[in-house]
Amino acid sequence: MNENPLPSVIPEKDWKKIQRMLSKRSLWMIHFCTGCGAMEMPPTMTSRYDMERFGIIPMATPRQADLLLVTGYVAVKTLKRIVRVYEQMQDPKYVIAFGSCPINGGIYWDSYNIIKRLDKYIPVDLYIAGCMPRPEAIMDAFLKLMKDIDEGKANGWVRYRKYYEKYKANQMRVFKRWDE
Amino acid sequence: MEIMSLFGIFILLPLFGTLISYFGKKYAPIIGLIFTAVPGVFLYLWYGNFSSYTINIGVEINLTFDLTTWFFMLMINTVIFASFLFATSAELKNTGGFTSLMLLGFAGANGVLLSRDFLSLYIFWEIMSWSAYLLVLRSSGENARRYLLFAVLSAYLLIMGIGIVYYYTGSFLYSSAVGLPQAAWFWVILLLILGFAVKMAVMPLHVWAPYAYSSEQPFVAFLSGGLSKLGTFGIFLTMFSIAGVSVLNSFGTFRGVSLMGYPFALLGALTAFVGTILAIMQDDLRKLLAYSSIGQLGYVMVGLGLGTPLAVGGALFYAFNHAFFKSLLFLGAGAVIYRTGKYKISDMGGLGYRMPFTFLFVLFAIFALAGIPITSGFISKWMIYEAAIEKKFIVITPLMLIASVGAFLYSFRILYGVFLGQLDKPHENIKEAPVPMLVAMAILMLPLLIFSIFPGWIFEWINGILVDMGIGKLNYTTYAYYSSIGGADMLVFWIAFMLLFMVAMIIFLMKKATKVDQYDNYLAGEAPSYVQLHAAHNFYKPLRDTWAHLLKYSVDRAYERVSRFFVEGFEEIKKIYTGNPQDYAAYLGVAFLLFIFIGWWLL
Amino acid sequence: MTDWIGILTQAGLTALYLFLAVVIGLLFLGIGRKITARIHNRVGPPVYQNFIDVGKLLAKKSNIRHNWIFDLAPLFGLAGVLLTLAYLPMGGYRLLSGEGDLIILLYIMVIPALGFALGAGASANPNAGVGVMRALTLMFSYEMPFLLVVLSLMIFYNTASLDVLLNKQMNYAWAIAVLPLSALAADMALQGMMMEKPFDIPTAPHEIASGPLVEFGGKYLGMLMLYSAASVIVETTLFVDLFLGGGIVLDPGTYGSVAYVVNYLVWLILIFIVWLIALFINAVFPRFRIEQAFKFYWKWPTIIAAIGLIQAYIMSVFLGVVP
Repeated sequence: MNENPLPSVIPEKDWKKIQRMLSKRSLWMIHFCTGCGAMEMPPTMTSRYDMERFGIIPMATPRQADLLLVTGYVAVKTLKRIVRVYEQMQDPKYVIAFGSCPINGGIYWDSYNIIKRLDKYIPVDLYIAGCMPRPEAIMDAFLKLMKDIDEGKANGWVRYRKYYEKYKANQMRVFKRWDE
Repeated sequence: MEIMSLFGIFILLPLFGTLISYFGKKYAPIIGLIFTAVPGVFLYLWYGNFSSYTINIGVEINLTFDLTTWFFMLMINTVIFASFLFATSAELKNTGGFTSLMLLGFAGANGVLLSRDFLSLYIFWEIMSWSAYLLVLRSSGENARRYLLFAVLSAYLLIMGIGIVYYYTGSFLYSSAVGLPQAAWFWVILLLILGFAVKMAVMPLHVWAPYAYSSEQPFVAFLSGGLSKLGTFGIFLTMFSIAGVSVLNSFGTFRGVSLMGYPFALLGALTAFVGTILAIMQDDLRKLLAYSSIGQLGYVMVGLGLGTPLAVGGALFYAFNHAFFKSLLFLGAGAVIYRTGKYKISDMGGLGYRMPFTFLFVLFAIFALAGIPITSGFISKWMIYEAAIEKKFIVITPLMLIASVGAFLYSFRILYGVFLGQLDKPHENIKEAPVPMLVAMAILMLPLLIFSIFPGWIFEWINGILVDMGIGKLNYTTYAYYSSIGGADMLVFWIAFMLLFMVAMIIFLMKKATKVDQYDNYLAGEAPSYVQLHAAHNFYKPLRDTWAHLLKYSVDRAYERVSRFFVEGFEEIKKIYTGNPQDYAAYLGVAFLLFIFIGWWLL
Repeated sequence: MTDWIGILTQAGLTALYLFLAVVIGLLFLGIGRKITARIHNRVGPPVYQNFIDVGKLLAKKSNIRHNWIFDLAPLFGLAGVLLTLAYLPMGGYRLLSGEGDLIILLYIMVIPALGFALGAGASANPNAGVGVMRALTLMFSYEMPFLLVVLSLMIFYNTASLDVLLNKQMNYAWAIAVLPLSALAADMALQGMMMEKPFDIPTAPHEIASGPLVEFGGKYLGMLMLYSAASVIVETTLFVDLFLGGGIVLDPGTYGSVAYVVNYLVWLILIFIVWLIALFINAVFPRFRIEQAFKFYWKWPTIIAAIGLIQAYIMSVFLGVVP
């Protein structure tokens, strides 16, 4: 997946290691609060649970960011926007899902409007259990994500590219129209 | 070179062209091209053949062909050639009339530049002015009326000045205007400069410009790029050829600058500032360019008013640059208006993706206007700034500097509102401007680029003019120019710029990029397939709101109030004519008694 | 023209100074984040964080572009800001400032901003257009006092060349001691020039989705980050060169190469102090609206700068002070 046209002087493995180090120490998240978990984001950003020390800062647009936080339940309407925002991000990109709603529907398990399994529509790299997870849990998740990136396990974006048609088919089954 | 060939090529040939191109119909602009190319060729051949002549065609007309004349004729000839090249594919109505009037104006302009006495100056000035009036009349009577008012004002001011000179010296020649008393010189210089300043659209005599510049764009390119330079030429002539440096200095000097010239420099700085502010607030593309033109010519006025060699040289160079970049801008606007049919910036948008060459040329002209060192527009700005700073003027310089920053604002408005941003659905299939228009724009762009790399070539001409008029000398080499407080070297600049650009390119090209559509934009997750999302309405609203209470004062409205005062006064006076015979009988009786009374009192 | 060795050494030294300037700029941005975090009672990222950020951005696997005009933004931005750096004396070393004076520098400073504005406009996002409009209005606001300050310096020292200005400050006294009011107005204008709070209006993340930066990502954003790091150095160096003698404490003529090293260190300390002042104000202030910024700049900083201008004029013309 490496589109680098320059001949690599560094052996392939080392170059990937450097890239992973750069990626993991400077994750930029989109400040795009989708659900009720958005309440837990400001405490994580501010002085007590400072997440900037890991290099994670909120950015305004998906073009500039590489971490999408799905903070809570996902309605069908929100899912369309989340998918658009996810597709506007640039590779490599990661998704963390908060709460129990993206896992199995959570307290909205019998709603007609809520997505029960987020992983069918966009690839999720990490789930955080809880309703809502506290900032300590979010910090733990960030550290785990950084470890996963280091070991090369956080490859949701590779999966999205490889199985693009399957993901699109799942999405289209839920949306009636894509362009409204 | 004899008088008949000079007179013939530059004046009679365009007049002849006026006659025959009227019947040209579709091919009229091509005929116009030929009739402007021929004088251009001779202009190139006759460089260096400078002398004076007299010719008698019933009236004695004195002509001169010197470096100043040559310099200005170069500008005007190139601009009208480019205008005609543009007009060949602009689909104007009644092209025969257009071409004949333009050639008439060209003949008049040449005559103004060539004259050596006031009578021929006035004759050719009127020819030029009237042909411009008829050209504005082709688009709108209302605009033409405003233009006519100020053109007539300018003619009257000139006549008054000429009259004073004739009264004291009994001759119309420029060279015989010596030995006038101080008071007479004051009035002569004042009236002549004001007369020429109307053409240059200096405040407060500028109100005709935004309306007249809303006519068909090839003509406006010639009007703004070519004919307004005649105002510059006239002021230069008055101050340095007719009056001379010694007369100017006899009025007293203020920090080394003649007291006669300083108020005009101040007026020029004010024009630059207010013109730029008004240009920022405009939405109509043609009016924006008109106010920008008013502002830029304010700089020329500052340079001419200051009178030092650096300042006057800067003013001449600025006039030269302005001729090219302003006509380039008007031709670019004309191309856009031709393709889209709209003239408000808020209706356009994203045209740069479909008309890339027009965008590049307009971009280059904007660089010249803003004074970016890539173009020669920077050098002229530099000269005028250094001239003002050398002499430590603290009112003129800040006004000029802040006007220059203001120029960035409306420059970006032109670029973003018209060429960048979102492409609207009606304009999705716009084609690039036709090739003749592009070639015309390329011709106008070349001098701006060349004289930025080799400023020494144009400094040679300007230095010659300054030495001829006894103003002073400039300090320059082929690539660099210096003043008493600083200097710049263009060769080093260009080499550094090229090298660093290559460095940036190398870093840039190390990774590939994928192209996406303009609708694949971040809009907080929304992705409408078609909504006009171009930020073009009320573009500078914060600025306009902050200055709302100052923008209420407008010279335009002042003039309208004055004219309304007179109109209402005349309406009142009209009430004498009641149509009632008894009233008229009463008037007769009263007048009769009045005459008897006065006659008895006088005797 | 035949002194190739001299030209090559000068070009090499210039390249070295430019590279160091970009590195120091990124370091300053990182130190800025650390200090801001400490003011907020947080831990903050490590000081080399911005290097990691730029590296990550330049190493992104996919980059999005809209059209060829969009590509001009990082190209003109980076090339323009490096060109501006080349015309500024840094640490007392002339670079190219002998070949161009303050006026050409003021206009070269516009080239990167203009390229960036063009690229942002070409992204076809209305936020970008509004953002650039606000950036230009902000520039119109802070240039008013700044140009008055520059004018007062040029009138007082009777020169427009930065080279000569530095020499005169070295021999006479630093300009901040002679024209303190102008220095105050220049520092206020500098806050707007560097786009630090309360004037970070154009790239406000929450108000207009980062304004002009809205569609830039990947290598584009990486190069623009290099541009913003270098522009921090440009603006602080401009202030230090104009008012603090450019950090020249030892005359290179008498001391040789040692003088260059010492001057460089002093210059580094001085720009760090100027950066700290801007940073402290940035850490505690909220953001102005653009109308408030405009009204602020055209009121008190302009008045202070005008008083400084009159002072320079009186001292230079009437009192005949010749520095």
